[in-house]
Amino acid sequence: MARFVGRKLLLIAILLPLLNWVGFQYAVAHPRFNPYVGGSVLKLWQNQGLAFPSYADYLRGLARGDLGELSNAPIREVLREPAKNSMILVGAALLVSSVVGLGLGMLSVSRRTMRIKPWALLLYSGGLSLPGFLVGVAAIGGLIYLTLLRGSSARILPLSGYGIDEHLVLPVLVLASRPALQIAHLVASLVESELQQEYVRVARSKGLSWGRLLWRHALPNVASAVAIAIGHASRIFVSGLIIVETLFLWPGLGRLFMYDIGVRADGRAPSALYAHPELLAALAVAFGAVLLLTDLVASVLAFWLDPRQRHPNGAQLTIH
Amino acid sequence: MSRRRDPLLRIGLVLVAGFLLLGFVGPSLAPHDPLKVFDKVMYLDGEMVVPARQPVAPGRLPGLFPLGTDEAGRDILSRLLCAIRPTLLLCSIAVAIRAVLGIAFGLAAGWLGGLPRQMIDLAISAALAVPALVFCVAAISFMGAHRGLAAFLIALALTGWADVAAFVRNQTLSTLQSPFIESARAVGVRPRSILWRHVLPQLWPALPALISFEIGTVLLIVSELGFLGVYIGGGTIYEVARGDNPDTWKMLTAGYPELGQMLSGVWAKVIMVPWEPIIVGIVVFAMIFAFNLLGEGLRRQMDITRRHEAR
Repeated sequence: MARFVGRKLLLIAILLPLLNWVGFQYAVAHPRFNPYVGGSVLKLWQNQGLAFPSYADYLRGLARGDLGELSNAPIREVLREPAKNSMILVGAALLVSSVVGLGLGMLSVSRRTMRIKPWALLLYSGGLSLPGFLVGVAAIGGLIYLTLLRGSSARILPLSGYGIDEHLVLPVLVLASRPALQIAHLVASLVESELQQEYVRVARSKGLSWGRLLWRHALPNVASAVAIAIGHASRIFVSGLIIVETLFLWPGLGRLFMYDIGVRADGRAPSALYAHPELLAALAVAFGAVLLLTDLVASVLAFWLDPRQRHPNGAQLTIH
Repeated sequence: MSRRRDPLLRIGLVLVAGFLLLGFVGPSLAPHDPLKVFDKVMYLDGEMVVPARQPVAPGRLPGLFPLGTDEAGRDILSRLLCAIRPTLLLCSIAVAIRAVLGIAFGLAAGWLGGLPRQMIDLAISAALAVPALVFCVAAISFMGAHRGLAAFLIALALTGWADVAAFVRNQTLSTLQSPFIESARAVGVRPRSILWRHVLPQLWPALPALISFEIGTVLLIVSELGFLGVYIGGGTIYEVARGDNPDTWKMLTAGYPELGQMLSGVWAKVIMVPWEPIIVGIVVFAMIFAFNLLGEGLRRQMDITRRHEAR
């Protein structure tokens, strides 16, 4: 266990500085050229009398706890609020998707055939094929047209913006739907294959109740793999953050990222955020840290849930 | 294998075959040139309509524009029919590169021991630690979307191989532990032929399902990139005028159609041409659904616990 965690920590210790370096160098080497407009960010920087900092200078700053600055504001301050906002969103989505995923997965195994119910399979294939932003756009469009049809100005749900209230509903719905279905699919398939085991047949023939069989026998055996899958879901969360924050104007890290390096096809002049080395280095580390730390927690949880290590390959279980 | 086919597999096969067919013959079925802007006056129930000035909703001119026109006054059906080919091509090439890279690295990681395996494992973990969408946006922004296909292929291929590699690695490791490898070693088969003749073929049954799922995944990323405004092909500039206002102004819109790109600029479209995102969204969903169903069906077909009960 200690060795396993040690290896994971070593990986994090290697990858985070690497991400930092890549993010910084990426921004420095970025052509800074908007092909659609022809405006150059380099010129923008030069006009403002700014020079690109070197990585050595940046590292020296880091050692002092200085993340660099952006338009005369320290990046630490620039990142604080967005990081908090994104954390709230990801936390809520993680909670919702774990609970819904587990519940739905358990519900979708048929008691009679011990297989996944056909509607559930269809739901998983269909739901996992639905791009999240389409759900979001449909929800926003639907709400707009509903409001128009009802003719009253009373809002049903806020369409965009930040708030720890009903503002969370739509973003979390879009962010959590995919991971929830993925977790549910995995739980269902694992429980299904677990139920094909001989011991289940024996237990059934001895008259063990369905609920007991499911919760006492099947679930503990698959719990470890499910924990890993929940960890993997964090990958979708980070990708989804960009989409959801762009969609619902949630002031978080994903939106900052899109401002930073998004391709501006709308022809507007690139902002001061565009390809900013220090900001991008910090963002890369933030995204990587969320992913790697969730993965670490999930792996430890998986270890703890399954002391016998029934799935020696569990740590590499891939989900699609 | 049993003769009774899974309904999922059958639906998936039919849908995928349909989309492949559309990819092949779609552009020749298109009633109009996908780039043609209809800026001439047309008569509709006795009133004049200029699609370039006022987009035509689906069903208003069913003979001419069955699915209506987009915000620049181009036929959506023609654009859709032409869009399927480049998107499918992009996705299949990207998946092919992903699969080759993934199989090569996965086999190497499973086959080689010691330091090489640890290095490849590290590379896999590193690649898995980068979210695909973030990487694609960054990579394409770096190379420039105007580079077109090449930028997208590189971005899409460099991000997904790790999933395949992790799968192949585990599969290889478990194959290497099976008795027939041991006996092959015992009778003196050369390591190279063990790898090519005994380990590699064990991967083939799982591969079709894997590739099908991968195509679905890549399609999803392509559509999400499109939504974020990252798509193949540059834009074209068109002149707009609204209503009776005689002034025109220039706007940028997408050029040769591609599905991801038809999903870009959703906000403007939801207000001006709400039917376009709806139609394109349904098509994209159906396409991803088709490949996912096919993958799921193939996976179930290969599932040994299922085989005996299907008889």
